[in-house]
Amino acid sequence: MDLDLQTERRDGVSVVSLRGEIDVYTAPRLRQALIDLIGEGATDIVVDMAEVDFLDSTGLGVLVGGLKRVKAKEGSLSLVVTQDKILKIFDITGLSKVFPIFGTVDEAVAGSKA
Amino acid sequence: MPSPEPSRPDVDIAFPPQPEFVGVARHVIAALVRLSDPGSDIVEDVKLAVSEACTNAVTVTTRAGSEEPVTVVGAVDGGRVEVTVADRGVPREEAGGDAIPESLDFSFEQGLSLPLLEGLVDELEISPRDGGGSVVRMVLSPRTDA
Repeated sequence: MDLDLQTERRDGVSVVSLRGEIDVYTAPRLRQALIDLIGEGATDIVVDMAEVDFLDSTGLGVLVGGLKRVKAKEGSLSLVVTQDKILKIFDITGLSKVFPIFGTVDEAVAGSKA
Repeated sequence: MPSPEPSRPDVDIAFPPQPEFVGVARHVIAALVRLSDPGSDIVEDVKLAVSEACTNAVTVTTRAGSEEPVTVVGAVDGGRVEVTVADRGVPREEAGGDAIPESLDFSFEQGLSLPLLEGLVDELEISPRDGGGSVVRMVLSPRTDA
């Protein structure tokens, strides 16, 4: 019950790869990572959630907060979601219309630069 | 006299109102569902619903400045899952201005939690608890008939 978080740069896009569970205990770490990235000047961010086993509204709230921050800098925050159980959460809350959602990191990185 | 009632396994847990314990509660209830109904197609929905309700409970209890435990009772009956989460929290308007920072407010009154919960469960009932706080009762039924 933890969250591993790794960040790398790919073609000028910051890719945050997550593995584990995002809930009220772990979401603050994701929030801080996004705030740090944006503070360092990142404007185009991809959050790879392919290895996320669990996501609830606390994680959604952090992603929405990150999106607001990059939008203020005319940037983008895209997601990689491959599991139906995670996609369903974005569908129920209507957020699948708010975030660009891709099936692979390559597609998301390409989409961020478009 | 033999009981006509089928066996009804359940769990009853209490945990300190800390974020660290929300995951534990969610996994305990998920284990109950898997043990009681190995073919259940709603385990993920149950985990999410429990997480939302427990996160709210921890938030409103923290806001109240209380250390009273959050209690979670789960029962599975013929694939139907009923979970009750009880807290000793207070509504936002009773807590005063800055009981907790907004960035740490994960209560139902904030954001996406309640719409998500309403999209997941078949029955949702939020009622006042005797002695203060609230009780959230949720029922989830299997998606497909066995």
